[in-house]
Amino acid sequence: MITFTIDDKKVRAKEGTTVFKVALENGIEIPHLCFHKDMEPYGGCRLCMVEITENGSTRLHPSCAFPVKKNIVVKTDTERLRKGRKIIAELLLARCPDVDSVINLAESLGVKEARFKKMDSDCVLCGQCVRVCRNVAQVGAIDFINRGKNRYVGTPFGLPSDDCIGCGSCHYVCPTGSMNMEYDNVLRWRNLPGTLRKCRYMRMGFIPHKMCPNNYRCWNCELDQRMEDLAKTHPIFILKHAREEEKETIGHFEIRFDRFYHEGHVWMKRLNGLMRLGIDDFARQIIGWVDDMRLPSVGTTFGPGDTLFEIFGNGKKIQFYTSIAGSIVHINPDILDNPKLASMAPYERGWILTIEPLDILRISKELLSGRSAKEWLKHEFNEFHDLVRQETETDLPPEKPIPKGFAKTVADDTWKKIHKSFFITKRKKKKIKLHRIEDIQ
Amino acid sequence: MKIKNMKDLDKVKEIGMKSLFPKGPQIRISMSTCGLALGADDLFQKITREKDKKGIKISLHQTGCSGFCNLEPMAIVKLPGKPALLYTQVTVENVEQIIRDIKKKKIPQKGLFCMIGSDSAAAKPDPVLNAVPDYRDASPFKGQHRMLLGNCGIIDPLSVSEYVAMAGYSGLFKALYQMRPEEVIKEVVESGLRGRGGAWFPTGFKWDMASKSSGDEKFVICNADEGDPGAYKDRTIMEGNPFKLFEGIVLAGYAIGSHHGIIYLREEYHHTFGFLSNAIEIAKRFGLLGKNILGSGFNFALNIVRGGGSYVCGEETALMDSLEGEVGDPRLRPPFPIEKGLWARPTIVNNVETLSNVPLIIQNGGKWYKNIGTEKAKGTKILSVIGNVKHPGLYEIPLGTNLKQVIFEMAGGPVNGKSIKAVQVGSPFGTFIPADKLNVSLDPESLREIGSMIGSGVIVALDQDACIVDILHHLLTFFVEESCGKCVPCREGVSRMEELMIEIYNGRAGMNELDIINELGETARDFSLCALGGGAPAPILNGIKDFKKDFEAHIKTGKCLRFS
Amino acid sequence: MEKERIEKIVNKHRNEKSAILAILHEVQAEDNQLNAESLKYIALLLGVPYANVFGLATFYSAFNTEKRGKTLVRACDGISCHINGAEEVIKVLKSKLNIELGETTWDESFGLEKVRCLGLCSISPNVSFNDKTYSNLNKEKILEILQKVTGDSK
Ligand SMILES: Cc1cc2nc3c(=O)[nH]c(=O)nc-3n(C[C@H](O)[C@H](O)[C@H](O)COP(=O)(O)O)c2cc1C
Ligand code: SF4
Ligand code: FES
Repeated sequence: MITFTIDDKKVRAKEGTTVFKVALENGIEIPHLCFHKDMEPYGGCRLCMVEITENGSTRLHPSCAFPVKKNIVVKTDTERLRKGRKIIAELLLARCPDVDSVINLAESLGVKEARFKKMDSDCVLCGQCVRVCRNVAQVGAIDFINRGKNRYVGTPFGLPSDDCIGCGSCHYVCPTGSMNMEYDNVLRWRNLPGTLRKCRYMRMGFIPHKMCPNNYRCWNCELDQRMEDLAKTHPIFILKHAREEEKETIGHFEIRFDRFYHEGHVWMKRLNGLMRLGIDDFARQIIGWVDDMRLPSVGTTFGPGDTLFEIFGNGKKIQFYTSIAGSIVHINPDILDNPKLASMAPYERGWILTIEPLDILRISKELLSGRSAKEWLKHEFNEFHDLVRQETETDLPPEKPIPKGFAKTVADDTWKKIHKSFFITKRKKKKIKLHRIEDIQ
Repeated sequence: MKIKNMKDLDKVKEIGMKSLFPKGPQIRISMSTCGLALGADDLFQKITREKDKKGIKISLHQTGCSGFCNLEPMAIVKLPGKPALLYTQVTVENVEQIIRDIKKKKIPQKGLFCMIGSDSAAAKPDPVLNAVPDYRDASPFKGQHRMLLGNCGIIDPLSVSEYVAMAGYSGLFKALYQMRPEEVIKEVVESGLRGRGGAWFPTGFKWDMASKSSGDEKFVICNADEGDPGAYKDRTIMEGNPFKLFEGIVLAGYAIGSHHGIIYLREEYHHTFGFLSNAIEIAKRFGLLGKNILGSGFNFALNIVRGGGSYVCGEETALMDSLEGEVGDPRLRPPFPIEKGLWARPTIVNNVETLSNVPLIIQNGGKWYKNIGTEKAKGTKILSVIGNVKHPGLYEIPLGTNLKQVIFEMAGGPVNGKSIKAVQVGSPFGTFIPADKLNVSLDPESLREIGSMIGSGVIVALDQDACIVDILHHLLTFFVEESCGKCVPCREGVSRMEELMIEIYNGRAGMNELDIINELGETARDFSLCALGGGAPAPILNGIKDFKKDFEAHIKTGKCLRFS
Repeated sequence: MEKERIEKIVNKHRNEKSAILAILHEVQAEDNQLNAESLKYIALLLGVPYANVFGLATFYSAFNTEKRGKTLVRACDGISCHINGAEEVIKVLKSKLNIELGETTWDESFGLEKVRCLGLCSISPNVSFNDKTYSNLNKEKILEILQKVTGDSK
């Protein structure tokens, strides 16, 4: 616990929080625009600036990002701050004269009319949509384009985005209501045939498989209502919390504690009696990226030791086997459209198959999880670096992820060795039939 | 060959001495960006052809820029038994005569500017040279203290041996073999060296903090994004004496415990990029970069990264974003780069000039360095004096030199009998100092007292024909174009200042608008995220205050003094 | 540009996202532009969102998402060039090439850009034509150079 002063009041706060949060807890609301409670501070709008006196010198800092420190003196409402905030509000009002939230904000800071030439933008460039799309949804369909006063938020060349998953989080966080990406995409999707109308929650990675029966009128959909009730915010933020809590890195490999692993570098996750699976970070880093796959068709049954699927990338191939028996229930339709997802988001939207295991109770016996998974991955990490050192006589830096082009630079027989020691340790005879993606589509 | 011990270093030194003081005649031509722009490559070819035609043996070398591009193309002619002679503005037409003279062992007269090293033992007095001044007495070199630029334009920048002959790498050798990293830092702290990139932050202090913060890897970034319009000192150092910079970077790496350095070079320097890449390869071949430097067991890798043409990327946190392959938006501080910089590892960012000072400090000791400069600001500063003066160029002066002296004596004062109206020190963020207040000492503290700053050392002299409104408008357009657009006060505020300034420029606005500009400026100064938005208002606010007349002319008549 | 060429460039930089500026520089140097296909493919190879790569290509002024002229004319408008008459020079360039700043001539032989400081301030104004820089310019000199350069390219 730390004590310091805000507006002449002594307050106590936990280490690691920000001045903004502590002020709010103490009933002081500081004006802000670009800050969102579930995202990293951005510090772009500069409305939340406060005067902070530290070691005898007073400076302005954005409270949304400033970490609390012992004995600092914070002033949230001084003449200088009021004046500056007023000017900022005026500038925003001149930019967006017709946006209600900006008009209200300006009014609350005492600005009725801007003295500048009016523009007719409806975006204040707070960057919340860009950040939620890139960092929370991990999609990155929109970004800032150009710089300085020509900056705007959009898609490349202003064309509809193929990456957009229509989650609507950009619209949800936008303080001015200018973000309509999701809606534009929904309009496009309504023209798709019924079998391709993937549910938004499926695209986000919440449910394995669902086609939208409502013509994307989500407000009529029970699932949508339930998700919103459950999350109390945009559901995408649930994913973020889940991701943050359950991941750790072993060397430079990421491990998720909500997954099962088996020695062939496939993760599995239980979903109501089914199992979803995909490649783990180790496989992803070694192959670099995935540009093609061979997969079994839905309904295929398999037994322990069968090769379940194969991925291709960087001119190399990896086979993945299974250690349990079962049958294929779903193939991730997103991955069929875009195999690179498996390497971009291997633990989320890049999942590959859902299977129905023959004996779900055996799973905890067969698969690794928690500590055993951790130890196993540590072992794999060391093995891998040793092997690379021996084979190529170069050191990969142990703290950095493997370069994406690594697989390409590796000679074929080295690759064979890597493959043999990490991926097909227990393979039996190949029994099930695999198809190229084109054949499935 | 790799230099592995003192013996090797001495051997290389000997080779360098031989090439600097050759037995036969020698010509050196300045072939940096400015030389090339003024036809140095033609000159080089012509000399090669001519000497082959005449059949005399002349060793031909390249040099870098000496800081006075208007004197380019420069050539240094060294005849046996004579001091080296500097020729300026050598043209292709002169070449035949020069070669003919050299053949006859005569001293070529045309374009002869000064002597270099006339007091060296090898030189015999020559009556022809009586009237020729020495380098140190010839304006514009007179009055300078060329510690950093001394070798620029004289030695072959790509020759390790010539640099070693000029005492190069003795500092690094000393540090790696006789000093612990803490001692290197102590020496730098003792010297009082402060950053030359603009903020004047104490370098030793920065290194000390970086060496104490923990991380599996640390980075040394050399900021060569020389974005301030009017500055070209970093380019001159890099093209004139790259190994000195490399030595400084390796020293910084040794001091803070880093094994990886990056030079972030601005995009506009096309020639410099190829040149530096070459220099790095050469340094590696000599064992001065890469594994086992100077045989000491210390490893240090150095890369160059080219920017993408954005001024904010000179700001250290934006620079790191750019290096990570992101858009160059400045980051929030804290965390500071010394704790979490590039890839969230402890990182130091230093300017080219700052790092080039370090070898000198280690070589001669912090105490020696402390003797140069003022009480609080030590060492020399390279000023880039441009605008309406007779000899625009780079002037390396001890800190604390008088501004008036620099403008009127060293740079020759205004041209065509005009008078100086104002001088902007530390462009683009510095303020305009009116002609009657030029009697100030050039050091950060004295300039702060009068509300200005020395910045990266760009000094813009304006004569009576210049109009402050025009210059401010120019500066504002620059700031607006280069703002990254992340924060409101700079993106919206400074662009509104520009908008209003255009109105004033065209006589469509009055004093009322000036007040609004003032208000906007104050907000941008206090509320901006980085020093671009924070620094931009200073010259504007000061210009409005001190040069009311220019504004009145615009407001009343809509005419610019510049064209009247 | 062909995919193989892009692949080669990206592989040279070990598919590292951090090398994206260098990759964009090299692709642009070969193709004189960064069009949608190239950017999309670079994004794919690096495993980053396409919008991110596009954002980068538009943030940095060295990159162009449209076709550039074969000869890129970069007129310096730094403070020193400005004081010494860059405006005049730029005006001449604009009227002779018949384009505005940031545009390309109809036959794609010339593109005109403004830069802030080429680092040759004591011999200003400066204009560079691709890698060749001309200094100490005025109205007459730039006309002469233009004549020579346009004569060459036609
Ligand atoms: C807008 C802006 C542009 C800058 N440009 C440069 C630059 O071109 N070169 C430079 O060395 N420092 C530049 N700086 C300063 C750096 O942020 C940083 O202070 C400096 O590199 C630190 O090095 P030093 O301690 O050696 O001065 C710039 C700062 C700002 C705010
Ligand atoms: S002050 Fe300007 S350049 Fe700096 S972060 Fe803000 S918008 Fe970007
Ligand atoms: S809320 Fe802190 S800067 Fe916008």
